[in-house]
Amino acid sequence: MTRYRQGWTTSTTPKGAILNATTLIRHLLPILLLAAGPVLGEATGQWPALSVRGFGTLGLAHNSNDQAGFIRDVTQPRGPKGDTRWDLDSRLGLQLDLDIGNNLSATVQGISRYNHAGNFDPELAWGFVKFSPDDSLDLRAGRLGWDIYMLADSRDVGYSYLWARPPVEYYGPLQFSKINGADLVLRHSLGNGVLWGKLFAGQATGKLSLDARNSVDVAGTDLAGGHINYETGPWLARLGYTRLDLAVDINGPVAPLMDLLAQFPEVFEAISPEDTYHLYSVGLMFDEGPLQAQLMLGYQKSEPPGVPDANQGYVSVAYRMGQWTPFATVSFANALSSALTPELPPGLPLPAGIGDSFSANTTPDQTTLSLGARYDLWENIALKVQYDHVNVRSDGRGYMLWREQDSGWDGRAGVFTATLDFVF
Amino acid sequence: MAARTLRHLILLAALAWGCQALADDGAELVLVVHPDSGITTLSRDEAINIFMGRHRQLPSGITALPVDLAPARAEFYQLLTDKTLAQINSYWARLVFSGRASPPRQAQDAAEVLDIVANSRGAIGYVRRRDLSAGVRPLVGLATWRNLQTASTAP
Repeated sequence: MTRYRQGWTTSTTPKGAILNATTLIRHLLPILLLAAGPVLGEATGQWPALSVRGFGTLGLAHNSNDQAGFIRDVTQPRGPKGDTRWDLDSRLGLQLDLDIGNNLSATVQGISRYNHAGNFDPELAWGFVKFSPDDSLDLRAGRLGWDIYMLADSRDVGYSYLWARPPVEYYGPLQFSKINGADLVLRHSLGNGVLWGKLFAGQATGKLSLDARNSVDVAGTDLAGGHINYETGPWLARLGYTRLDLAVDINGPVAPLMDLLAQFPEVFEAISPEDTYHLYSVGLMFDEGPLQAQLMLGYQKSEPPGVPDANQGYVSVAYRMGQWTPFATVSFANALSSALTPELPPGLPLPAGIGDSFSANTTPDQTTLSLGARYDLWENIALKVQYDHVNVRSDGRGYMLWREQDSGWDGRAGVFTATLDFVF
Repeated sequence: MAARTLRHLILLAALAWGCQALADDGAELVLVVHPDSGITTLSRDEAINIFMGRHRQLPSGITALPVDLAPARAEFYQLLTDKTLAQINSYWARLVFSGRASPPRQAQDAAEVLDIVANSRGAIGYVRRRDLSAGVRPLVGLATWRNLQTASTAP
């Protein structure tokens, strides 16, 4: 059995106490390989059959504002609120790729990250079989990542980007972790570049978090979409569209309340997020030598009456100087209308203001300015520091990206983050 | 500002001189393919598309199998993309962990590159000019790209 020699492992072995995590994981690899031995015994040949790779982030995030908890995406039940947390950005992933031959390959990726239940239980993030009859066509089926927006399917891989975390206004809301389904990629050389497109369809799987005590199972959510890309020289451009039919199942103290409201169809329809969403996106990346720039825009057309349409986007610019790459990002999300506050039937045992909180939960109105730098410590290890200055306007203060909000919050947050990102 | 520009110019001149010296002793990197690959030349954009996993197809239509020469990898990607290995590895981390593509196969020395390329019609690799052997077809010396790059970044 041969381990695929990976580009980032060909250098001399890194030294130093800071690399202990990598070393530890390397010690685990032989065990995994041994476990896989019986299956792969026949697979040794001139070309490597199995590769084992991984990625991880150790992060510390501090929110200087103590009136609202800052989260990375809607799967997280809690976030730093006047304190420092290590769970926001820390994660570990392990991937096995098996070349079966006859243009077939299989990939399995497990991730351990802070989840809706507040723990780090590992989950199957990817698990698919890929068939590539020629270099212009790939077909995959199984469990696949969330590829609605450019970079969304690699947002857990901190080493692959410059920021401490992807801009939360763009990658934080309505981001499910994975789908069970299939996709198809077609490539065609055009001019000096490559034109390629992807079509996908499947069902979302996984759980989001409403707050520290309530989770949302999105199983049964159907989605289908595609994107078309052109890559030439330093440019990469993408147009994407996804249609999503949301199904939610709330678990936790709020669940009986939802059951109660479900007895009033008109009311329920006014507050339920279950319906069709149309997600349009445009992405533009420029990456030449030391200069990197990205512009991403998204438009969400929402059919549920209680959920407003929304725009989101960011622009980010970075310039490498030696091992340092400083960057600046401006990101935003804002609703295009005010959500309708539903008229709730009188006489029900409902908490005061519950109608407002339903609509506020889906109404974004915020902007973040991020400044930071990445330092490439080694060819597979990077240190990052970042400061986010967040301004949430009054309409957006009940939005799903904030946890345990106090009523008097002025909508400001200052988040300091330091991460160590690695691949192996 | 003018002093900085001057310093850059001197640096570029020194680099160009250094490259010339390297080329003279056969250290220049040369792209190599199989004699039956159906190609005799390759542009920088085409090489980027193949080595960066955008589209693994030689201009002749054959599926391309790119091979890295591990000890010269940093120099090769600096010439090809003007990027550091950390940047190249970051790029591959994105593609690998989203199941899109795998990086080129890693060969440990020139003999291994030559062996792979001589035995596979679609293989494409790079070795130093002095290491070239009869079983492969040399395509383009990468100093050409360096000169292009120098020309395009000169003020």
